Amino acid sequence: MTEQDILNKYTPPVEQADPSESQDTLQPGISRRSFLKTGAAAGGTAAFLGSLLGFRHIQAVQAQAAEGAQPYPLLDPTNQIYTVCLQCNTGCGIKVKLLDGVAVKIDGNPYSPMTMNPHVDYAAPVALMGAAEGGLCPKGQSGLQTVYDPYRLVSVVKRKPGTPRGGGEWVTIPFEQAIEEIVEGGDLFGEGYVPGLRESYALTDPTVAKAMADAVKAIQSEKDPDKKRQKVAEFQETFADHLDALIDPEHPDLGPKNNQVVFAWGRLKAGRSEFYRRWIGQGFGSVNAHGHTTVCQGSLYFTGMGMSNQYVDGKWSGGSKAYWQADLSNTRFAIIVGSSIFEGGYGPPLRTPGLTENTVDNGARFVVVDPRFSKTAAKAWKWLPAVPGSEGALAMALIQWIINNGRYDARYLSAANRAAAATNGEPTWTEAAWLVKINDDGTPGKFLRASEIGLREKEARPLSTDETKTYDFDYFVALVDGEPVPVDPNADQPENAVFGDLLVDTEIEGVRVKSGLQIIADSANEKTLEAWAEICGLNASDLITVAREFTSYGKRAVADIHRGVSQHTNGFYNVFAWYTLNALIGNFDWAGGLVWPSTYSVTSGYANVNDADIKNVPFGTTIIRTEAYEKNTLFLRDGYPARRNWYPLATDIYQEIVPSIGDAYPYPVKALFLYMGSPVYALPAGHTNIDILRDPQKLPLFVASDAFIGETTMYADYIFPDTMYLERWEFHGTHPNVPFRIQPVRNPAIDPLVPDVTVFGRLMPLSLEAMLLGLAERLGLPGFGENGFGAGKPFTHQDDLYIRMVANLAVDREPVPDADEEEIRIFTEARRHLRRSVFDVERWQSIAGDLWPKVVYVLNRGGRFQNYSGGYRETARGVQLGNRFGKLINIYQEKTYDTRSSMTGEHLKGYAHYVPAGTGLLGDRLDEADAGQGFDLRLITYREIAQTKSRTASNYWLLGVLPENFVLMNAADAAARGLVEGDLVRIVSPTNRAGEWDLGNGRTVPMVGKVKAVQGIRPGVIAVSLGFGHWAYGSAPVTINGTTIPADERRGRGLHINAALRTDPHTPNTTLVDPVGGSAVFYDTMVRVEKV
Amino acid sequence: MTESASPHPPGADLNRRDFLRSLAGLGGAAVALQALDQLALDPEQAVARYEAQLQELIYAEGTHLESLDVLERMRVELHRALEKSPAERRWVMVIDLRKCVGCHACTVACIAENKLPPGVVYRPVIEEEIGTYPNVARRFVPRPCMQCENPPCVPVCPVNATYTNEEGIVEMNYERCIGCRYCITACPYSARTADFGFTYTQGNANADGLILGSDIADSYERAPNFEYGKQYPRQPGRSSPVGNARKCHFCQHRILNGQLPACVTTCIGRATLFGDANDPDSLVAELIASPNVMRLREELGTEPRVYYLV
Amino acid sequence: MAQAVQPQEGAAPPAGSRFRFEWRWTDFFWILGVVLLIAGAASMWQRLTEGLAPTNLTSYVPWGVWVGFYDYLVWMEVGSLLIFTGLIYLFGDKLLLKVKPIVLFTGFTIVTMGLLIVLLDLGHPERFWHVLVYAEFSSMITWMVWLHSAYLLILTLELAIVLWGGRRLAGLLKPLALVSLPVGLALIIVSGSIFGVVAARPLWNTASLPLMFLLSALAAGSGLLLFLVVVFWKEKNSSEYTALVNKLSVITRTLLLAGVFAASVIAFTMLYKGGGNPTRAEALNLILTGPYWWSFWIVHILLGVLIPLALLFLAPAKPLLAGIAAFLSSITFVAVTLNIVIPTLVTEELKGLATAFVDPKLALDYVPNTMEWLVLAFIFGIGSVIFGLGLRFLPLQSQHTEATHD
Ligand SMILES: Nc1nc2c(c(=O)[nH]1)N[C@H]1C(S)=C(S)[C@@H](COP(=O)(O)OP(=O)(O)OC[C@H]3O[C@@H](n4cnc5c(=O)[nH]c(N)nc54)[C@H](O)[C@@H]3O)O[C@H]1N2
Ligand SMILES: Nc1nc2c(c(=O)[nH]1)N[C@H]1C(S)=C(S)[C@@H](COP(=O)(O)OP(=O)(O)OC[C@H]3O[C@@H](n4cnc5c(=O)[nH]c(N)nc54)[C@H](O)[C@@H]3O)O[C@H]1N2
Ligand code: SF4
Ligand code: SF4
Ligand code: SF4
Ligand code: SF4
Ligand code: SF4
Ligand SMILES: [Mo]
Repeated sequence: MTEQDILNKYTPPVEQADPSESQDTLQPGISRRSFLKTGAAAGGTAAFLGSLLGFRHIQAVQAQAAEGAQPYPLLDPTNQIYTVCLQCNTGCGIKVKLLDGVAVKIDGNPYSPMTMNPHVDYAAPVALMGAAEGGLCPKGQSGLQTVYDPYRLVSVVKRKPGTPRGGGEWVTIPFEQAIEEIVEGGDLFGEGYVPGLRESYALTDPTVAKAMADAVKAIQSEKDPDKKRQKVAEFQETFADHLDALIDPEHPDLGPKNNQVVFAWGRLKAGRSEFYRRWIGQGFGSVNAHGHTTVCQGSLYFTGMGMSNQYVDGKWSGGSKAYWQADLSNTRFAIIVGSSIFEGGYGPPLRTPGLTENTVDNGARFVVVDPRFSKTAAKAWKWLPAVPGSEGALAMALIQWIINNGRYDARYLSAANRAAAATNGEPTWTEAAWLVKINDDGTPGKFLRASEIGLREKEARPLSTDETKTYDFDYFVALVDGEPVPVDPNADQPENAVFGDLLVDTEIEGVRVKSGLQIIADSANEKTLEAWAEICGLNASDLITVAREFTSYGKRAVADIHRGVSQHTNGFYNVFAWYTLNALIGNFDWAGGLVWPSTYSVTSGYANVNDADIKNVPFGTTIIRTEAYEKNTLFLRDGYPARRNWYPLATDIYQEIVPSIGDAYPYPVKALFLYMGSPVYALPAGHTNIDILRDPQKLPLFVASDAFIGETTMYADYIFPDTMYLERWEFHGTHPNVPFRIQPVRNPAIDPLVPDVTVFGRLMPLSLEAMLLGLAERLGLPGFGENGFGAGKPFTHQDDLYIRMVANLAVDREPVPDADEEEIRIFTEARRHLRRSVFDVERWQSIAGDLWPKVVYVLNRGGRFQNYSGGYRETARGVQLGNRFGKLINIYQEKTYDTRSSMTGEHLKGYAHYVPAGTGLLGDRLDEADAGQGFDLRLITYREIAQTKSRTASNYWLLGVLPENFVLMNAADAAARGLVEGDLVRIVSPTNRAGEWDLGNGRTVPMVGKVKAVQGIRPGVIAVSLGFGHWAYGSAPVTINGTTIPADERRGRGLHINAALRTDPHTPNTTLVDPVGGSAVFYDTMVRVEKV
Repeated sequence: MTESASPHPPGADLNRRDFLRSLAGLGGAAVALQALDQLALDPEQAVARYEAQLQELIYAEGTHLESLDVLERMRVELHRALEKSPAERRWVMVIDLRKCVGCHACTVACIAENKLPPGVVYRPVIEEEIGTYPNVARRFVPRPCMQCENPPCVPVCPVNATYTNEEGIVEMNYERCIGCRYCITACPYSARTADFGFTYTQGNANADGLILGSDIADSYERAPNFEYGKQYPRQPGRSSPVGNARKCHFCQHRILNGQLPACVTTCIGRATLFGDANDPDSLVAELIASPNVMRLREELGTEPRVYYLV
Repeated sequence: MAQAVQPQEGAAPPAGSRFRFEWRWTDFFWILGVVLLIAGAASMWQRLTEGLAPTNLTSYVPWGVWVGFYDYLVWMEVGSLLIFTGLIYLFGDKLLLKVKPIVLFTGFTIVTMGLLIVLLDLGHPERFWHVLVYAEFSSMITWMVWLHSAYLLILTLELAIVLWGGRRLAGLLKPLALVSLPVGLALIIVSGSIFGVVAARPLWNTASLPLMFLLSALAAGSGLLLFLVVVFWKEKNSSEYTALVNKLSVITRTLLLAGVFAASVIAFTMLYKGGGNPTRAEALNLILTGPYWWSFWIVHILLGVLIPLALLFLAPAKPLLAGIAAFLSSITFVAVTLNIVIPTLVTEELKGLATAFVDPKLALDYVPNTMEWLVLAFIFGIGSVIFGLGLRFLPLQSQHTEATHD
């Protein structure tokens, strides 16, 4: 496909007036003439044309009806509700087809770019969309079986008093009683006193909290140890009356006792996120709200955060927790590294057609770097089965060849600031030409500032946050034709454009400096190409071929990375290296290059949903320690190495939550709430969490919101059933491979299969929301109740939040049109099966006010989706993405350099470089040592298209596709061990020599699986997929109220290998980690297989 | 205390009055969209007008069908074909193995659409590994019914319960079929399976008030399927299609309603293509003329209507 | 032996008034039948209420032990009657007329059982009549059902005439018998063609299969006939008896040998051609060396062919041994039908299909389960009861003669 083709396909040339504007075409009133015209050229509109055909079916049905055949009611728009899939986290738009209130079929929402390519025009009337539907993956298709799961809980259950956690004995208790017990505590289980939430709700005065928070900030920013101690003493004096509200007055920076309540989650999306965070933060006043990011693709996010920081107000800040992925539909050449486009990732329905059509129809090519011959590799031009953990080395090799052969985009890289980029017609720019000071030991340090060499004095500039105050702006420096020139990264006037020299290694005014690109080049030249290739276990010639291809298509080449790159001990630097490689051709924001995610806002516009009548002010150290260790008073106590690692560059360190509770580091925890997560199952070495969760001494109270008794929630004290994805609200957001601005809205499609409860005097389905509101009511938390959203604005029902959020969405940027009468009719009729506590037109309408018709318009389409044409735009230099990152991309990170390891106290490196994988926190090569001990195979894991984590083993249709997983190994490895296909082997690792899960309740689950001997995996590597080997979740019997609920054997087949994944010698109750990016590590464990 | 969920209100079926109402609605929306001067058109008139415009749009010079998702392009073509008499169309399916990524979405979509019970599958996807490390290939071959031009499954049926319809689809007459399963043995592609009467959740626990239980959980499995334009609820008892042989029918009920087969719309590789081979302008007509086309077990002379691109 | 029933042609059974129960050895049959009925009742109930679900049949192996037994029963019955009728009416062997009632009745019983099996094997037995009303004659099953029904009809008529028809109707016997010959022949051929026409299954799809069926039916049938003669012939000391046994022994062993020869030739060609038709060779290999090798080699070849052959060569002197041989060979023929039906089906038509979508009912490994066996037991129970009751209440053991009419 040529650029012109992309344009022909996607860009309506006539209407393209102002390219800086978002391209939502939402005017339904355009004349027929212009409709025809654009219809001929614009994909979105043309797709709409096709969708109009939905209309005709009615005639067909009618014709049939005449012959006595029965109608096909599933096409009737009033039997369809548009919502969002949650079978995996991609969040594809779906349409749920209903028959007598029962969801009977799920298909793709044609308005959503996840399921149609191009997707249908947002303005297409929903009445005409009955017959239009897009593609879904098999999990999306089988979603009915997730919701209609016989093992779903429908009552609140409590661990049977007198039985231990994990004992499998439960009693049901009324919702109100559960709320009361959790809030008030007492001898709840006949094993002694359990502190309730009220006890931890110690600091309730926001004014005091605010004052304390400020004082703590002062303590933390004090660098001098003595002065720091002094400040602590002052603190104790100032707040003498309130010290009992603190966890430890000796360490006020740990924060108030409120922090001893921890909210954790696995899968939490916007909407519920606002709910949950409001509760724990503004409401309860705890800093401990932590998600699962690091078990997922942590280092991608946190490298992305590092790379997206901007220099604002004299500081590096504002980086988003986000990352880039490739626009595979338009690329000419892609390197796909540890990223499973067709089987996993975000997500197959969106990315697959783009790639298959692009390759087969347009001749694009791609390379797959994966130790396993994945289904993606099966379609690749080349498969590079690199050694797991060597991804960084591979990137450095490509970088080396490209730089040494001058095949990078010099024009792009030399642009040192916004103005230069703009002259280039580039949306982004980098620090490739900026000068970095070189330390005495030769390591790169901070950027050179213009004032340091007397080039330009500091300037006082107004703060962006407060125009009345100023800060000192110090210019950066680049060489232009060998002469130092000051650089203001954000200068946007053409005359301030700086195009710097790219490869600089010199001294200026006695200061040794290198350019950013030079540092990267040096890093890439640390080894020869052959040496890099050897680390990867690949041929150097293949690497050269790939590097040449990658630099042969201008901006339309790209490297796409995912978990296989990030979930290593060297994850952060792997990711950094691959993004740096992309930066060499400057493909950010280009069609066929890298995409930055963009969504519509849901939090404000109509009503700021983060506002509350009174806000608590949480402060203190998080249990997972997402701040600089050196600032904390614990540093004074413990020094290096810290007892557990600190993560100033990351958040949501999932693997730290439970083990930190176990170690009471940095402080003990009183209560853990877990929502839709299963750390025991999901985490590498998740078994280490079991002993902690089982122990009421370490964790006095453990409450879960879960639809099932799962692998982790089986250890809970209380489980609150939840509404599942077809029954509830969420705003699913987007992913970095979606070039369009979107915001899919999950909204109730079927009547919840859980009963109603009463909270704040209102009926609502038993759900996460009911649990949170119930607790808030009992505790009297601010931000909830009759004035939850401010005087006279109640927050006593989920609708109070979610309808406001939809209204916000409806008016973000260009507001959507009003739904007409017909749309409103369809909307209400389609929801006729929903009960009052869930759907009530008057109630919803009264919350939405005047925006009601817009709310309907959005909900009728299952969210907001920018039109296809908005995703791309023509520029003088070619087709770029419609939604841009459009800023500086940090290929040299001063902030990262400024951060020290809490283990060694050393500076981190601020640039792409190769770090070997398989290291422990203290830096030792554990994989090599283990290999020496006879652990001769490297264990990796991956997803099969037909399973999602710990929560789709109930999908019997999917079990037909794949009833169990297996131990995938190279046939040669199998033969060498005397194994044949189907043999059972046990997986044994250095930190799990028994090769089993010890459930702590007398039951063990062996990590034994069937060998599948294939050619498609690198010898020396074995792989076991995710989603099988359950020991709870309906696969084992449980007893409730004395009734034993038998197990379904189908749900427990296969094996789950996470307990084999290695723990770190420094923190033996925790998996290996990437100490910088925070990733939990899945691919760096050496194991042995034993025939059973 | 907890209260139990309200029962589902009955009656989602379309009756004629609903029909007219929705027609009126559609007309209205269409008219609004086209910015016609008067909104209060007589519904019938609006529909007619809209239809005419639609025609014009579809066949208009310069309408780039290529700029649609291929799904929508095929749907447009499908509508074109539906305008012909059944005997004039020749439905074929083209499966581009280069684009098939072995996701099995088609398998599951088909199961969901047709409410297939355990033991019945219309479109499995066969996976195979070929080669030796590091030169490996994986092949994914979806296998719907080939809708053979010479279907060996048809003449063996003792009661004429399976036959080729006017459009070339090998159909079943569930009420007629005696369940002898001869056709199953006769199909060279194993494209027919037997409905033994199971449901996926049968045998799962029921425990009122504690867990959802299989009695509620099977509601989607019990809901009717719409095969052959009829409604077959799967009620306790042994009425058809339980006891019958079953097979892929190119989702004829969807085709007649202006939709592509379920396996086609859900295909994430856009590897499964569908249309009227008698329409020279259709995508499938173009594809089955390409040199890299093949059919399964062609030596048997079955003349499949399913083509594979390799 | 049995004396109670007066051998009075066409006479009604003795009046109940002077009924006095007296055990006879033939009561063994209905007692066995009752035992089988009891044993099979639960499974039969399952079959009636749950359909085919409780069987081990799958979608990929849709025919199993029942179909195998059906063919076996057809072989036995039609085979024996073909030889019987042929000998009498084509070769004029009037001697055999003496066992006509018992042979016909045996036939009637077996044909009835066969029909029941077919019925139970249907997913919708209640729609059995569709085959008559919507008959599609391109289907071998249609022919089979029609022929089978016709055959049953002819047999029933014959039997009725023999038993009750008196001399007035006896004239119909020969024409009926002669009609039964082509019908039976056709039934065998058709039951073979059911498989033979299936191009999809290489092992079945050979022109030789129906002929194999015929040969096997004749071999099995002659065995059955021999067995019946040995068991039910009254005057065991007569020279007629020895001669008859000898004759039947020769026929049986010749047919067995012919069968072995034919089968070997076919097997050889199939295996030889294996290169050209791997699926066929695979299925054949499955029979010869697969998990059920024993059913072929031990049950069929050893017990059903080699031992009977050995015995039959000794038979002239010892009718008892001939009877045993006949018994062995006729009962073990079921292994042949099973081996024809099942291994062909458990061979994947498309490689990888069995793992493409996994379900117990989409499996390729089929072994009949207890329920299937017990349903068969129930049907054999019905057969045994009919047979036993017939032996007790019908004048079956009269030494019938039609000579007068010839
Ligand atoms: N071996 C291996 N392990 C992995 C991975 C891998 O590739 N291989 N991948 C990792 C990745 S990327 C991730 S993101 C993690 C995910 O790990 P998590 O986020 O921890 O887990 P999930 O499996 O998504 O969700 C688990 C819990 O949610 C419950 N649940 C399901 N539906 C609902 C609902 O509607 N409401 C509520 N309240 N609860 C519900 C389930 O019963 C279960 O207890 O797993 C990681 N683990
Ligand atoms: N089917 C399915 N899809 C999903 C999900 C699911 O559970 N199931 N979950 C969703 C979620 S939460 C996530 S985070 C994404 C994850 O999506 P991905 O990151 O794309 O998925 P993974 O399969 O974990 O890993 C990607 C690939 O990395 C390979 N790999 C393993 N070890 C290594 C290694 O050391 N080096 C290299 N180069 N490659 C390696 C694996 O073989 C696999 O092909 O998927 C999402 N989509
Ligand atoms: S990729 Fe599949 S499972 Fe994931 S959201 Fe999309 S349809 Fe659902
Ligand atoms: S594929 Fe099989 S079922 Fe389909 S028409 Fe051909 S023979 Fe019949
Ligand atoms: S199973 Fe039904 S369709 Fe198939 S041959 Fe028998 S009667 Fe005909
Ligand atoms: S055409 Fe319809 S019935 Fe046939 S395989 Fe596809 S989805 Fe199933
Ligand atoms: S849905 Fe499409 S890509 Fe997926 S297996 Fe089926 S044919 Fe292949
Ligand atoms: Mo994830």
